[in-house]
Amino acid sequence: MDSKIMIVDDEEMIREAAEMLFQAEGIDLVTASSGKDCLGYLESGFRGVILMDVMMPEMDGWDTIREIVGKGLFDGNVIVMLTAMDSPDDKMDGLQEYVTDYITKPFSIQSLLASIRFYGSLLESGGDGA
Amino acid sequence: MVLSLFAILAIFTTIMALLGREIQKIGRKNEQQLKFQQTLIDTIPSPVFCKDTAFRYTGCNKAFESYIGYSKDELLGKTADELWPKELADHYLQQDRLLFENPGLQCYEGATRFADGTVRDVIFNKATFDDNTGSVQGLVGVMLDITDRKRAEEAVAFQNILLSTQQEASIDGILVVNENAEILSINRRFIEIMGIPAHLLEEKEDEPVLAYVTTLMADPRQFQEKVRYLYEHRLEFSRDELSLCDGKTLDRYTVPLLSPDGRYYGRLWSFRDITERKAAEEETKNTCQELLDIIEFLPDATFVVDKDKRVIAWNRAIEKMTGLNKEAVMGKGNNVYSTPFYGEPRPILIDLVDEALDVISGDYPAITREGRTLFTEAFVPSFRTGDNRFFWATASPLLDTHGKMVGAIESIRDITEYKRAGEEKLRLESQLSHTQIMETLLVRLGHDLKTPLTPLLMLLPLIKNRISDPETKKMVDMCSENINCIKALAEKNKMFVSLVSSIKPYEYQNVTLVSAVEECLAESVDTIATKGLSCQVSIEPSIVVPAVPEQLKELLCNLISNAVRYSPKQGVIYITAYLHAETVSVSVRDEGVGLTMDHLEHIFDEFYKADESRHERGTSGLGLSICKRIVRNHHGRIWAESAGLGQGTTIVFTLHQHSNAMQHSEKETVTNG
Repeated sequence: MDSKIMIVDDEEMIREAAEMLFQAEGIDLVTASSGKDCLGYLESGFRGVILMDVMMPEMDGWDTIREIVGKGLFDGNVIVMLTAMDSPDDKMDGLQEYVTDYITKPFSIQSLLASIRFYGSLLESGGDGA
Repeated sequence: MVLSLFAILAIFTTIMALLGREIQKIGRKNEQQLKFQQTLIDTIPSPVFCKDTAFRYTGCNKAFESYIGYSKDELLGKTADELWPKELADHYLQQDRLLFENPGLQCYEGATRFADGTVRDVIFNKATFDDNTGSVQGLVGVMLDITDRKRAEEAVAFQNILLSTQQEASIDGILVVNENAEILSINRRFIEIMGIPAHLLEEKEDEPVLAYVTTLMADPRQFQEKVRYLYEHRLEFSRDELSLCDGKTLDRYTVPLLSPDGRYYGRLWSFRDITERKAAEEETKNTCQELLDIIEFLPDATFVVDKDKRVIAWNRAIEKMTGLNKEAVMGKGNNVYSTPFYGEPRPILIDLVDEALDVISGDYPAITREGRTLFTEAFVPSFRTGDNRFFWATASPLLDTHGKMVGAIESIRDITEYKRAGEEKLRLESQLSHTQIMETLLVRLGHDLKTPLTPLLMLLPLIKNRISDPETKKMVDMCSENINCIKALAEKNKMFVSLVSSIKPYEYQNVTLVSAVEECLAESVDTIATKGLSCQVSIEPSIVVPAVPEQLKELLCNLISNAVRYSPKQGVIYITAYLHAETVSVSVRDEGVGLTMDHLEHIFDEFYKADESRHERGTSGLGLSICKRIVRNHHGRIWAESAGLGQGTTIVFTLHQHSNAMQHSEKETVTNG
């Protein structure tokens, strides 16, 4: 898989909007509607920048990271959390080291694209966000 | 009495002797004279008899006939054993025989039975009489009835024993003196109390005893004067207390000894050792005073009544509550204590301590009883100054050691403010609950708005780029502007709600004020440039304030962005800090639209906008409310100044200069913890 960006969000509107935005910028985007979906792409060989929503039904963003790490799928990825929360989440304890950045919803196009480009180039240069 | 008896006997013996001789000499020649003599004997009230040497009765008088129950004729010639029971007769014969063997006088006492059946005590006086040759011819006897005298003597003896026993058994020391102040009697207790040496008592003189007792007195002169006075004023009674040198206290009581006709026979002195009683009384008095002192300083209005419902204690708190001072109520009854509460004397709780609850509950529906203590709440309309007041009262009977009620005590507490505070507490709790619901709602709303805003914010720029029609582009710009307003509102809401909780000590940091101001100015630099504004910052670089950096930045950014927003083009914004003893005051002044007096009062209220139609876009109406919360969280003050519309606005806030805010917060933490 050639794509380097994946958005994981249960909100279809956000996934679709992101798809349109990235398409306009000429960036291919993988959209995952759940943590399970995300793990599927990773197991299929996806490596890149993962924009992970925190609040999702069944398996939330933190549960998904725990699974990614547990299954040895973290290496070669940068995880950026998309959060609407105003305060730290107890569930993130012990998982912060796997998160490179946090972007608070609602985010501006500029800040999102800037982040993605920065972390994408970081990956291409061989480093990781962790 | 005995002398008179012997006189009678002598006369009678003489007469009988004469009689015997005359009888012999004259025989029956002078019967008239004998009759006279018999009459004379008959007039003697005591029984008289005579016997010959053969123990036969030879004569008697009327009184003897009555005594023996026989006539003289029946008696004459008979001996005792023919008239009396054998035992008595033998006794009489024996006595007669003794007299004849030893002629002369004989006197003895004996009990004898009279004809009426009564046994009486009698003195027999008997004497022999002779003929002219000196030969004993017979005996003459006179019986003297001494039964009444014997009974009187026994009664006197009994009275004497009774009196002496009473004296000895008395717990009082008793001294009796005669009319000359000479000692008649002293009881054992008097000797014990006074410790009188034995040798003084042996002398039986009053002066040494009085002198000795005087030496025991704490005030000998006063003692002597009182004794002297009472001996001079014989009819006076007296009771007083004597203090002795050894600390004893005696209760002295004295009465004159007077006969029914008022004759003075002397004086009785009674002394009781009341040292222990006095000590107990003193202790009781002290204890009582201590209790009264305690009652006096009780914070609750308290008063005490005796068994006659007279006020015996009225403390300061009740003086203050009722406006009645002690002088107005102490010692008074007739429910005087109820007047301040009800405007008239009437029974109140203290009067009902012995009543059944169902009787009291008519007046006091909230009445309860624990043991013998009553508790109630009472509503008193128009108390004193006309206020409606609520009182909490408790009353209890006061009991002596035998459980007998000797009074009662009542405490009254004005709980009006407490009741009102309770109502206010309920109101505040309700308000707090409402506020918490609102805050939860705001948090939820802020959070939930973010998700739908995200695609809007992402897509609107894309849409704008894909359209070429200027009108449509303008519409998209309007949409973007409103979306940004909603986003700003959501963020302000978030900030506002986050400021509800107080600052924890560890959240404080020392922030250089001028740096924080410059950081905020940088965020508005575009607008400042667009409007051609200039900023004059007068803040000493050395000023450091303890603050939560994010909150301080929010405060300054809000004030600066307001100043920028309301400044006219080419205006000047003045940001100044002043150092005071413990605080720093910071003012942000613009030359903008200014505020009216009404606005000055309300601009810190939540969602208040000076623009009443709320047309002002790009503002949440929460900016200054957030500023107020931040300043309050830092224990400072914030206010607005303006000379009026068009005259510009100055917002001033104060912060603690050093670590006071942190200490204050630490104290709060300790208190809360």
